Amino acid sequence: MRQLNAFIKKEWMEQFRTNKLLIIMIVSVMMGIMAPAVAKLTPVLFEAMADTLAEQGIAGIEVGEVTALTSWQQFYKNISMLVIVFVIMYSGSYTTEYQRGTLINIVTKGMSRTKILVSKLLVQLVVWTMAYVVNFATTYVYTEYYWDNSEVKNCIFAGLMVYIFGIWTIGLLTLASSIGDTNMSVLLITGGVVAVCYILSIVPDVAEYMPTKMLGAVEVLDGSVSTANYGKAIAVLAATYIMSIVGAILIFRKKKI
Amino acid sequence: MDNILSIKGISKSFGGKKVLDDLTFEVPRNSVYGFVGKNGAGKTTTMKLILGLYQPDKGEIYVNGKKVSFGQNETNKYIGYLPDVPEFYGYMKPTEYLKLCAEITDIPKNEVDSRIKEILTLVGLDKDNKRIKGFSRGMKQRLGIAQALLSKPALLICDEPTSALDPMGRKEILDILKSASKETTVIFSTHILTDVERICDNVGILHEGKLAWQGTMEQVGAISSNKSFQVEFDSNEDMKKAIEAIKSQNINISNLEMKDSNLENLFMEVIGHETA
Repeated sequence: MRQLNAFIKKEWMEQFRTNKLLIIMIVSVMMGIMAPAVAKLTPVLFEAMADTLAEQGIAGIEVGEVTALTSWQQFYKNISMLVIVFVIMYSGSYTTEYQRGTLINIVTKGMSRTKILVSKLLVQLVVWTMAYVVNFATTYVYTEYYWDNSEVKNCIFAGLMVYIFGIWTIGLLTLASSIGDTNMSVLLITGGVVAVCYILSIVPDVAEYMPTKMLGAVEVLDGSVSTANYGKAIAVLAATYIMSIVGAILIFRKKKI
Repeated sequence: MDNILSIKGISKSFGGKKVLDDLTFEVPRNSVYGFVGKNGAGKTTTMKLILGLYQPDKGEIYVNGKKVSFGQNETNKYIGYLPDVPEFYGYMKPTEYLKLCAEITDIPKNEVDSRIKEILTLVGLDKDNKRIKGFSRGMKQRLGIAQALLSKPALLICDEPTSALDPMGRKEILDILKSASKETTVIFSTHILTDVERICDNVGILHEGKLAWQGTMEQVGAISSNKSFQVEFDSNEDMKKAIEAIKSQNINISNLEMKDSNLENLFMEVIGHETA
């Protein structure tokens, strides 16, 4: 327990002193503001440019009524960016340690490798949770201020779906980090798996089972799609998450560092 | 004899190239063991095998009577390890780093602070509590020794601890190792032979994957002093006279060379330090 605590403390200190936490938090606040801001400003922009557009023969563009739903639609359009920023920032969590040899001192002191992995995983989960909650809450508060969140159905459910997609991605990142030796190989493996999920999702029957379905959770907001449709994908996501972590531990224990 | 380390018939290949071939040797407790070999002779590989970082193709290793198994760290609690180029988390201060080490090796809580202070004083870093990022190579090497000695290991393994340092830094590191050897067994690898002569009492020479020679420094002295002497004169004139005298007796001198450490002496003199 003392070993685990010590390494978690080290990982946590790293978040602060290397400014990782600060950067991801700034990105989440900015993205949180951007969604309602874009929803609010688009009609204003169109209005301002209406004359110019008419002169060029572009007319009759109808900007629909902007509601809380528009704001949330913007949110889900941008949210994969937050996941990508997170993955890029944490793709070096293990590989920089492999390359610099910083884990050698730790491991040769009798530190269990499983505990190293668990420490990193826990800290990444906490950072993801903080970043996502801040991002979601910022959009929620602004949307509530300008419009009314109660117009949107299943608001929290949709938010949770993207959140667990982030958790799943961290599992994938951990597995990739136990396999790859460089930052780039970790990104390729993680990105590759997500890309394969997207490609398989072309087949509608298969799409129902893909963890990437979570990123499309915006469809439940207007009530046209039932939340019950997500059961299968959640089950697959949970199972593959556990497999990623178990696999990562097994590989990491025999990893040449 | 009581051995802290026994290596029995270890072989290890990398991609078809045999690095270690049936290597066998033992290191007695409370000795300073110089592990000598050319670059690429397999010194680092041997050390990583002892630490369980590599899996041997064949053979067994025992540390403090316990078998080393790859990937697991059971025997590492007896070992302090100083890698050739020790790397740390640059955003930490030495005390913070050593505290992390202390918690990993489970040093009793009430001893941690005093132990860290003691070890930092030993390696001469007690006044440098800034982030490790700004440390020089020599300072990192000293911090490396500090982290290796922190848990008072029975066996200290140093991989070329002096190779990357200037003569002054080398002397300091050797002095620290020498003083550490009062409490622990030290194995250190090097290709700098004068370092071995300075602090070791046992030597093993690794060549082509095997231990080509092993013995005590006394034995080294006995073998090499058969025919050669080192004579120092007060001046060059005296030296020339002596050589003339030898020649006049028809004695053949097969080899005459300047003393190795001349430059080192000069360097120490110039920067105002006495040689040991």
